[in-house]
Amino acid sequence: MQKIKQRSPKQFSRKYAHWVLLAPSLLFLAMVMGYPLLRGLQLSFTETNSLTPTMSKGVGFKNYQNLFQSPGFVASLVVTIKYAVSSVVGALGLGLATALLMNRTAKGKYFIRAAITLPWAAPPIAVALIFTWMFNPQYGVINAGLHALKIVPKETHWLDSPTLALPSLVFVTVWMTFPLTSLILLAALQSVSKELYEAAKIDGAGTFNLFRYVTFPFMKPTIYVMTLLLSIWALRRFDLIWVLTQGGPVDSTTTMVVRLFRESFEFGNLGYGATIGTVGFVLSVLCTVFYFLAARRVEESTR
Amino acid sequence: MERRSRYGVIAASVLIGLSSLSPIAAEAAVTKITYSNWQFAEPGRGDALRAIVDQFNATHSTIKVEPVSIPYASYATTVLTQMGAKSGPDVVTLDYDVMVKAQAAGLVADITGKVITPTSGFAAYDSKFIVDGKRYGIPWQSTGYALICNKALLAAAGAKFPTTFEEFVATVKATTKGTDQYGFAMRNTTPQEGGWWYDLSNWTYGFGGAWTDSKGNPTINSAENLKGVTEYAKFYDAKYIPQGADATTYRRMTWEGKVACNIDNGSVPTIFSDSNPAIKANLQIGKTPFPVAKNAQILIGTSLNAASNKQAASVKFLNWMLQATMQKKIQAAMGAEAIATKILPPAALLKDKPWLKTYAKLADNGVLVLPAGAELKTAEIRKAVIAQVDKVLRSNLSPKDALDAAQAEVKTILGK
Repeated sequence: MQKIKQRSPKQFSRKYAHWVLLAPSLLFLAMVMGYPLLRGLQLSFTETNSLTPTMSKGVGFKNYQNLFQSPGFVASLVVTIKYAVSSVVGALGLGLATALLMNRTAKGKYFIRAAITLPWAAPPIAVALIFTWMFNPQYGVINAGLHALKIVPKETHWLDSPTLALPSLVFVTVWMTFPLTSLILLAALQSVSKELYEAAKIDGAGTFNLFRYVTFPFMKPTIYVMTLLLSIWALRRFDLIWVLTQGGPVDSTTTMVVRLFRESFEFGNLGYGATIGTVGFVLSVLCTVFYFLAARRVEESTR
Repeated sequence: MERRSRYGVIAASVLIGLSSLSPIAAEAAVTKITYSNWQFAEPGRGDALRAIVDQFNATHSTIKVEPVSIPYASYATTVLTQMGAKSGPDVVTLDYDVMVKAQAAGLVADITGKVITPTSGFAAYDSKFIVDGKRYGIPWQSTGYALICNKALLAAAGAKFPTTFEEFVATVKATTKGTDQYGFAMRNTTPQEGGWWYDLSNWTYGFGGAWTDSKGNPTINSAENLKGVTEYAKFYDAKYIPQGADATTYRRMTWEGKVACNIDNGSVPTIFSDSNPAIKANLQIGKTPFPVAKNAQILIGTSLNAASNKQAASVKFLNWMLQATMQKKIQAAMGAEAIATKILPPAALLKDKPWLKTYAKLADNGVLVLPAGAELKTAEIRKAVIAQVDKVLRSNLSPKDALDAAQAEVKTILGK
């Protein structure tokens, strides 16, 4: 007690300064993230109608029971995983390829970097509306071009075919997300020391081995972070999917978020919708935990 | 100092006194009400509707109406969510199925005895807005469905305007020329689930079906509905309709002369003729070509938000719109055959849009697409049925299996 009393203001501020600095951000996060999360969790244990949200009724685990027994939920979970995995792999693959290309290109590199950010900078709703027209079976430019090249039949159904809708959706998603991946990976690439490449070349490493033993180990942490971010974005993406397909045809693009929206706002079942949201949140947390475990393993193996 | 402060007090009092005469204070006496309608967002009709609101504002010094424009695709969810949270517009135009949900949840105000009955009398469907003797809204507009064909395309194929289902099949077959020209068009994609439900109902109603019986029990897999869905799927499979085309696309194809026939509502011929005036003379419109004279009916109403504290001003606005002169203006602006009152379309409007007479004549065939007795679950029932019909078209599921599955799902939804 005596010691505390004798602590100088300088010592006090040194000990608590970081909390004071963090407080506004923590408060903001608690308000815009913490409260809605807790409220969502609480809602998931109730039967609440969006038209009468004040008249909710506690139902325990009934919503969770119904959700896990619903074949629609399993189907939407499968679609979500397919969509997330393919769009993450696509964005990372294309992002890495373009980053490697940009890293080698000297002429017009600033123009190329600026141009490549455009798809990422465009608003998702605008992108979705434009692609809706581009995919249009009768008037769309994609069909017109591919048909002229004799690659597809005249009226190919991109968004209303149960087999082509999800790949089309992934195509648009990758088109939108690879630029950011590419720029971040490019930044990581440029941090690799030139001396390392030179030393590896003297040791007789070819292009593939240069990438495998020099470039890739340096980029691994960035790739892990991008995988995590792209996965979480894919799990919660709604705007693009809703405008392009609304989950159809035959529920082939109904992800968990689409199901959540339908339940909450079309059918008014806020409680059940919150249950889907909570399960989606748990999935995101699992992704994050998986990422941290993988990242720690990589760190330990490179020590 | 004392004298100075006394002068200060006097000056402040004068300023306060004068400020009460300023435009700011005058504005405070004006009651502002918000009026939402998705038609504000429509090209053409939106401006016409705004002009009507402007007219109200110009003739009323104490009430100012502010239009709230929300596109149709997100209108119902947006407005209902706002109203559920005790906010949202003061005056709301709602599709009838949405109004029913809002009424059941106590979100629309009881305006019994506040609405002045128009001199020409309310249209017959006004009774739909009265529940247990209480009025929860007034009709805004109603339209049914009719068969619209392009005479020139029919003549070129040697086909005639069909009056029976057999003739309809023959006409559609004769006017289909691969992917260059289609005999018919209707919605068949998930993003247009709402409109698809209306289009599909025309087929099931046309073969004598209904979504529920008089006691509210689901009749999704009845023989009549099965016939309707089977015939509709045959059109899809035979590629008489442009597969995957949304309404915007196939309507464009129609006015470009690439689709011979549609079954559509009373505002669609206006869209065709406005987009391509040359097609106007070629439009032939008549009863839907199904065995039973029943077709889907669109009913739209205007209600007051129960959470609004500007009920008196809002009622004044409703009553102003119900005046005969305004009803005529609304009818011309909306290009609608039927509005709130029994008023007849003006001669000039009928001359410009002669099809309105046909639609008005067919009004008695109109049936709402809400499953009777299960109105509050319309969205869930619609989703269950459309999802199965989608499988018929795209996953080779038989219509019978599809409707049986939909019937089972709807029974679960209704707890029956």
